[in-house]
Amino acid sequence: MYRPFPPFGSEFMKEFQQFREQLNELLKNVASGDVHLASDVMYPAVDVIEQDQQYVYVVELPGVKKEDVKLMVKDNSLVLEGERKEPEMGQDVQKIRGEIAYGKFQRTLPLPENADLDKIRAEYKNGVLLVHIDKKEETKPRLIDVQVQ
Amino acid sequence: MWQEPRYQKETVRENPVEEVKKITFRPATDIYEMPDGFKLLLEMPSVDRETLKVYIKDNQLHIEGEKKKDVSDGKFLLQEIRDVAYERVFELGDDIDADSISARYEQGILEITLKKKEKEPVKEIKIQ
Repeated sequence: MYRPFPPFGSEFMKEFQQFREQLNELLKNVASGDVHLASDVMYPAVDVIEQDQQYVYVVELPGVKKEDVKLMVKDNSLVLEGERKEPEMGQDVQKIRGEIAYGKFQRTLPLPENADLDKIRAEYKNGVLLVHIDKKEETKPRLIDVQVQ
Repeated sequence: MWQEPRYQKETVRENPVEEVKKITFRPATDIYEMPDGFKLLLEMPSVDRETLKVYIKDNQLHIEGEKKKDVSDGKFLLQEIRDVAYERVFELGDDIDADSISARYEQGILEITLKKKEKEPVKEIKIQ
């Protein structure tokens, strides 16, 4: 059945305004964790921090086993791959709420130019992976003693 | 059961130690029902164990914990991890044995186990 497009009158604008409000509300709720979007995709949050001597990459990987994480250096990037596996609960167990996303994840993070790729150390604790990368020894300006006669 | 009381949309809690306002965040939760109880898994990476609290009050399960910074100084080149205080509350059913609660924190996941109350044995009445 043909329905004419509603005129851009007050009624239409009101509906549009309501939709906008609902969308804003949803986005706010997602940002505060009030609503968890059902997702099969895990996207670990990362901080990259520059210190005097090194760079530190902090990756949140709660519930990921150490052996399920792979860390590589490729094309001057730090590549992180892995999988968060759903814990096996056995028979007679029913999942009645599922907000945690399980599955494979991958992140590629650029490395700074002066990162010393031979000096990478990684540690994993409390569901957080910490990757330390030293800075290359820069050619420090040398002081030359000039003998003043 | 497992309903959540209505939250204020944006709660900000004073943090007396750092004097920084921390945003409360409700951690993603999986709940499993077993024949004799329930198991909850909460995604709470890098929680400071000292601040981690799990308790039952007025038949509500409370979970609280604050994030601990893993790196204390430096300049952020990328910042995606949010500095939050985790907080979540669940209403419990009448069939939960509050004394049975146990929790452990491992690999950034808080696991809480609750047992169901033992059912009272059915009394059989003999018909004369």
